[in-house]
Amino acid sequence: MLKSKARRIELVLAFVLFIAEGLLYLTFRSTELNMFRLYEHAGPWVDSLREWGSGLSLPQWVRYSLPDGLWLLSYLLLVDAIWNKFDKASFIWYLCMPAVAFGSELAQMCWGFTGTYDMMDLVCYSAAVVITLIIVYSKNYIRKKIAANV
Amino acid sequence: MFNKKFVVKTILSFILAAVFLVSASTSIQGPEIWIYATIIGVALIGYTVYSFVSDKPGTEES
Repeated sequence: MLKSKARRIELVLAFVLFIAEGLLYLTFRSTELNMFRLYEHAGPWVDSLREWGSGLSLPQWVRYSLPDGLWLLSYLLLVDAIWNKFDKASFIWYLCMPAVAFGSELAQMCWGFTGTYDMMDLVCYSAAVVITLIIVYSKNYIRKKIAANV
Repeated sequence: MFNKKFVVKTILSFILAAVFLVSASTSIQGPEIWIYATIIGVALIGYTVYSFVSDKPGTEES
């Protein structure tokens, strides 16, 4: 019961975060990004969205770093919804996208990889990992407590 | 040999990782991320094949 309810919440939250991340990218980021090639034929709604976004005054980190953190959190929630626990069989799936995220950021800093190194990106990635750890450990704690009471 | 649940979870995770790698590739300007994504992708394929042929992870009920 708890397992399926928690899973449903994680799935919904992950999709909401993924959509929010995509909308932040479409609204505020440069049209030079690869994704805008995909949206060339999407119609005028992207232009309307960007026009609306240009009137907003949001902090830089919300425009440039928060979407990356939301992307990673969305992935980690989906992996947790699939596996439901961190163990030998699942750890590679929990770790692969944080490795991509932190790895690409470090590659930007050290080897001039495409993109701009930003400390706030690392902060947002770290926040996503910490939030996931809190969720995983809270679920384990509740599961153990329920098992102890049965 | 290995349980069905494990196979389904591994395949779902593989698809999920692929989708997120593609989404990451759309959020940059150049094609260089494909080098990185290919390395990660090959590692994941290798791990998936390994976990299917090795009975160790699959025998765990998850």
